[in-house]
Amino acid sequence: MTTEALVGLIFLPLLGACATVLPGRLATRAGVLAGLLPLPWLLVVVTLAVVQDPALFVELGGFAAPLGIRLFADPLAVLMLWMVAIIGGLAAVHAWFDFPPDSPAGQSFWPLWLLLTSAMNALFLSADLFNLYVCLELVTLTAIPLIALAGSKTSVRAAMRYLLLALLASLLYLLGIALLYNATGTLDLYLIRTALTAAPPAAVVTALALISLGLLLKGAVFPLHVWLPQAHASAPGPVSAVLSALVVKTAIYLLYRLWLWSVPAGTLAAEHALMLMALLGAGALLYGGVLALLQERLKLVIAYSTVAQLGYLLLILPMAATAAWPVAWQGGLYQLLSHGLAKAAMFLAAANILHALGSDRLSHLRRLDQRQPLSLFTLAVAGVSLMGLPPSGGFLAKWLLLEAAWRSGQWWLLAVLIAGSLLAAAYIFRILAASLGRDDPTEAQPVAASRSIPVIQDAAALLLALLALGTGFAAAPILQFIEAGAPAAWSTP
Amino acid sequence: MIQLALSLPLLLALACLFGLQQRLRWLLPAASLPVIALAVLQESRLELDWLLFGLTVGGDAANRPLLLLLGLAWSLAAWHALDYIGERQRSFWFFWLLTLSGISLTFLAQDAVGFYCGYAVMGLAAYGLILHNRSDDARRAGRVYLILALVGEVLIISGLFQLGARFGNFPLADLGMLLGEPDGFGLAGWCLLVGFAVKMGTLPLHIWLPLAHPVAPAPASAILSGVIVKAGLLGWLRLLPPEMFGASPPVLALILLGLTGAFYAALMGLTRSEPKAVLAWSTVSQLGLILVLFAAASVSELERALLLPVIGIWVLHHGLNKAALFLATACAPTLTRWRLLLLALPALSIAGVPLTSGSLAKGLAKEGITQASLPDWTVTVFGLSSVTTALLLWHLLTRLRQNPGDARAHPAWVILTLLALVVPWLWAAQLGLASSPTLASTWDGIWPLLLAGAIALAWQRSGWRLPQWAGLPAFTLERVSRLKAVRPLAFSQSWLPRQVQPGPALLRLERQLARVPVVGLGLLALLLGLGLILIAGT
Amino acid sequence: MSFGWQALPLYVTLVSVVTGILVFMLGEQRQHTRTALNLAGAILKLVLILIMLLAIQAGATFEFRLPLLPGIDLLLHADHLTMLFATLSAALWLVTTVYAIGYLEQSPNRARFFGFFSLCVAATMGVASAGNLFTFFIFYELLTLATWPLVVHRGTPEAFAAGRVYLAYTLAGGVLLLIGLVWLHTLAGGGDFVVDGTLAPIAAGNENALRGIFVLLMLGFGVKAALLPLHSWLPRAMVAPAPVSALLHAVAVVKAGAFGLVRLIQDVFGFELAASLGLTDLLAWMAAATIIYGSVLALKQSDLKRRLAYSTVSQVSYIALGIATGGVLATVGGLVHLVHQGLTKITLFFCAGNYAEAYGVHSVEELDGLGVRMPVTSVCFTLGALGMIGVPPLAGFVTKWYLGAGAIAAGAPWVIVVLVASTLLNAAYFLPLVHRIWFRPLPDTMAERADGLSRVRQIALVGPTAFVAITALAAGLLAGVPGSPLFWASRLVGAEAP
Repeated sequence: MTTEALVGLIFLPLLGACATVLPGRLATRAGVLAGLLPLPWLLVVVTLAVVQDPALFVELGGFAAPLGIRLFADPLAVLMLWMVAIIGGLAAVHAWFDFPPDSPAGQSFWPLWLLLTSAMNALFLSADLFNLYVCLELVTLTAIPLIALAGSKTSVRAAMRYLLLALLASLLYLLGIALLYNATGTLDLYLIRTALTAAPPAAVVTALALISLGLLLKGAVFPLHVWLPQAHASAPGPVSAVLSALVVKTAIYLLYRLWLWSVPAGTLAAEHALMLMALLGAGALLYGGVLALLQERLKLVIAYSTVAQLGYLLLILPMAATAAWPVAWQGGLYQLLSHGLAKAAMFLAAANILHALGSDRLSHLRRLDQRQPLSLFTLAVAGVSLMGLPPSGGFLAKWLLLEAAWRSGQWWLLAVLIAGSLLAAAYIFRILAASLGRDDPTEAQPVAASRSIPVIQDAAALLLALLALGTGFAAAPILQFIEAGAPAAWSTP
Repeated sequence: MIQLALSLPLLLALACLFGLQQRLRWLLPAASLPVIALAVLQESRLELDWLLFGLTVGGDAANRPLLLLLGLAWSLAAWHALDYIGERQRSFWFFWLLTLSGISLTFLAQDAVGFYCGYAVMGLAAYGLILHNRSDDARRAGRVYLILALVGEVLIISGLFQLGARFGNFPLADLGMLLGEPDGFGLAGWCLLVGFAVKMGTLPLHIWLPLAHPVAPAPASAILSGVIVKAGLLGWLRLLPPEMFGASPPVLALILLGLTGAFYAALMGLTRSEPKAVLAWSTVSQLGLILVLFAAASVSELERALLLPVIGIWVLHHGLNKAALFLATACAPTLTRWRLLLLALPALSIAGVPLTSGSLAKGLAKEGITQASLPDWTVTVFGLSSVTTALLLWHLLTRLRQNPGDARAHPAWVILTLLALVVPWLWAAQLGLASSPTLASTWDGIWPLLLAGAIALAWQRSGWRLPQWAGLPAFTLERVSRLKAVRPLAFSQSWLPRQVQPGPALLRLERQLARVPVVGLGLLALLLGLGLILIAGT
Repeated sequence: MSFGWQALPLYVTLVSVVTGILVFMLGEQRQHTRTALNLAGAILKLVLILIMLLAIQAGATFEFRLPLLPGIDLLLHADHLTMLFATLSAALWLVTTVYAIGYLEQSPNRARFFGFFSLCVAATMGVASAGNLFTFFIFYELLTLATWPLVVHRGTPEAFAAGRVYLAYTLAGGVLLLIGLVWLHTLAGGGDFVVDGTLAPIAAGNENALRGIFVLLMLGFGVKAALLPLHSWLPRAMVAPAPVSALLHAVAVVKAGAFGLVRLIQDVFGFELAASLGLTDLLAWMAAATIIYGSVLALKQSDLKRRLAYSTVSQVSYIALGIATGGVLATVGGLVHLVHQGLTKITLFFCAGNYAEAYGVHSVEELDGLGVRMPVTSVCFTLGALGMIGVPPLAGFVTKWYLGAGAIAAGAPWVIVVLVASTLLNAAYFLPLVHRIWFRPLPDTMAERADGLSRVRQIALVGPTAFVAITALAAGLLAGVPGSPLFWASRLVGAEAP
């Protein structure tokens, strides 16, 4: 049952994607629905299984580890899968109206979307560095055309830049795993740990550096974030949502897997490498925050906010060597979750605003509370979570991170966390202030497209925002679940 | 009856707010009548647990003469005001009745908080009376009065805090008992002494009196001078029992202060030409004498018991006569011979002419001071003050004759003057203190008059005029209310970013970072960094 | 976690949330429905609170607990302190709602206004009934969020500037609070509010940590309570409409800060511990400095609302001063001022709003002679001003009496000096206003103008004003009656009612 569910998570969207390209009006609809609707039900099964066994390995076709392909599910993976299901699902609901399945736009949109879903699911379930490479590549290659689907010049240019840098990243990654395979003879994430200790250090070091670098580039970690803002801001709304909430996180997820599961604890001065990455995270948090504050367009603000918020995910790394690690890990994952929900909500709301007003320049947002009240409300609620103000998932995440920083005595982290959330407050309130502004009669109004937004699109965005808020109340079971699969803390040498 | 005494003025004040004072015209003077009944009654007491911190009111030995004074003077002044001011002046009547409510509570209260409550209400409401004619002088006088009154009130409350911390909302009558063994004149004592001294016009704090009286309408001046200032005295009597002063009370200092005030004020009055200003200084002077009596009564428990009735008689005498004189200023008292007589009666009484209430009060006072084991010269100087008082009143008569006016003689004035003649005697008789005049006491009453007459004649002959002098440096407290000196510390918001300043530079940086070669360089740098760190670990 | 009768504090909070959301959903046009909804919400809440009050009298307990994080609960409960604050805010919410309906007649964005208004009260209710610091923090921050749209409601550049300053201060305060909270949590876990606190057992050896925590929390609360160096957002927030100012000053924001300080000393540290660490002295001195400084600055303001704002800066610190002075009497004084300041200040702000609405009066100079034109408002203003000064028998006097006597009893006679100075300064900046209103002639330009308020607005604006003024009067005059604020405050401290 569990095996089928795991396989289904990967193959149902894939099959759906195939179905959508079949001729016939119904085929696209059927493909989309068949590819997406069953995912939550399958996930329930998987979740129940993982609750029983927090490190669930499933060998496909009955071949054992070094030879066959095996799938792996643990709480981290399940959390990511749920995010794909929920965020991807609600973004798909939103996209249903912008890209109706029977329209030409829909014809090119939905296969890519389903492929992306399938690739992400596969990525989160893979236990093998090479399979992961394939999945990562698939994710990138499906995401890029989705960006370009917006059809504007900027979006194509942004997609091209993304493509260029993503390919560079993939090459770095591929180079790294080639070296690793050469040195250890295995690419299984969970078996490589023992092999690494025996391997020649020079190769291992080079490989780790190359892989990490590739992932940092894909994960748009400061200062390698440069492709992200334009790409995320110019993509169609639902695509932006999924890119910011999920796609960049796949790289971070892999960084976690690599450093927290595969690298043997206490070797290779790894804690210094983690510290370096945390420093990059801190840089991202501050730099992204300030730049978000300087943007004049709503979607760019949100995109830079993603750059900043990714920083939190790296900040927890150096705490792996301290006693505060369980708390830090919970905080990091909770941040991952709540940021994903909130950010997707914001992008969907921004898309609605863009459609309704014909512009997403902050100076054109005046009287938004009367023109797009629900979108503004969504922005505000999601913003509360991003700022880390209670009651929201973002607040609980920040609380846990602060507690971890305090317990581990990492005072600089404390300062960075605080500064990050203050910056977030500044750019979120900047948006809200712009939306409550009065009309200035001297200034010309933008050419309002004044398209009315289907209620469902508003509702999808709002639902995501409310989920972000709701994670502020339902933390106990989720954290309990996460805790079971936390990677062991490194004992300080 | 107590309920009526307290609530009637308050209800009428509320009615004024709604403009009903014209319909209730005849109730206005009656508002202060119920307290007369309380004054006549031996003892009365009422406890109102639900009001404030539990209010207790009632009449006792200390406040009964004051209640009598209040009832008589206030009612008659109100009658006078009804014609002099008119019932249409809503604001006047509102403040008039509010002041009455306050002072009724002050006089009747038997607990500390109730007393203070009445005192504060009265003090603030009287501001409205002083400001009645809204002239610039009135405003200035009002401001000075208000500032002094407030300073007085915060001093009083500071003193009360200190007592309240020990005894809660204590019954006033029990304060002496509560204090028990005297433990020296502490901060609380000083606060209360100085606080009430404001209302009593004790020397350096008297400046509001000569400013306020000339600008207030005559009936308001009458009750200010006749009644309201006495609230300060009651405060002293209530809250400064001899136990408060401890073993060595500052009696001598207080007596000196009182006597200085008495003479200084009389002299100052001689320099004034406005009749009401002269009367105001006369009040300051008389209050100085009352301070002497109070000081003498603070020597010990014994003196207090002895002098308390005397003080009561003195207060009754001065209050009624002074109120009568103030009403007289509005009744053209020198127009006819009868009026002149009516004017002369209270004046002579205050000067202490034999057979008047003044001679009764002074005689009793001297007797009391003599018994209070005070230095001998005290009595002598006390007696000498009659000379200056007589001179001052003579000055008043001459001033009034120079500008007789043509106002109607109001019956309230006549009645008040007659009452002033009789009531103190009746009160003394009721207390068993009235005695028929002896030769010595008659002489005591007459020689200051003769001396004063001689001086006055000499003065008139010489044609010498007193220089117009402004008095003690009139430190205009109004400046306090316009503090310019206190510059606010600069807690400006300028450090808050209006717009993030480093914006353009950062945006340029971001554009540079986005160039592909720069990304490549960044990648290389990071690769080196990561690699070096990891290699260092192997 | 039980959702039954026990969870009444939750429902009381939710009533306002639901009202707010429904108001948002109704939209701008349906004015009558909105009015009915607002009033219904406010009345329902008041009724629920009164039920709770009676039940607590009868010995019932209320508690709603929801685990949020390991070892951290969302806890809403109802103790005496809760009820003191909750009753105040529920009652004043109703009054302010009526007032706001009249005040905002025909102005734009009313749905937004009333929606956030309700959320703001919901947050206040949460602050009141929070059962531990963590819950308190949640609602405290929610309050920031809910009030910001109210502060910038007018949408003018000044409003946004004020909103920016407001956020800068409150969010920074929230951060300090958060750090303090995390520190406290790592040191002692997330204890519930308990009378006299839970920290005494772990105090030994942790003195400096506790001091640090206290200072952080104190500053965090101090921002909203407008303690000295953290106060300058408050006068700027005066650009908001009058009902908002009233709400900010009397019930919600400022009071939440002061309430936090009360909880901090009473229920987290406990007075004994705080005093032994020298922390109460710190707070007392800060409060004293604020009292004086606020008064002096108030003296210099010529804008009526700004003068009132600085007066708030000064007056709210009485609460902190009373709590920090300690002892039964001073604590009662501080607690009762929570209510008294609210009643008095809301009166003054309503009056300022009435003047502004009727005749466009904003500065002190323009008040000349308005007593004749607007007698009821002016009487209320006078009562409020005298109450602030502390003239008996108004509410402010009761506070001062308890603070003053309490300070002496607690061996802190210097407090008297502060009280005296503050009283004089209060008089110096309030009495000239009263003087202008009643004793100055109406300027000719004003005399020609017709009455500025329509009949309906007259009722909706002046009615609530008179109501709060009378309540403020009664709170002082009838202080000895069971059920008065003083009575509750005394019950709270375990002192016998006066």
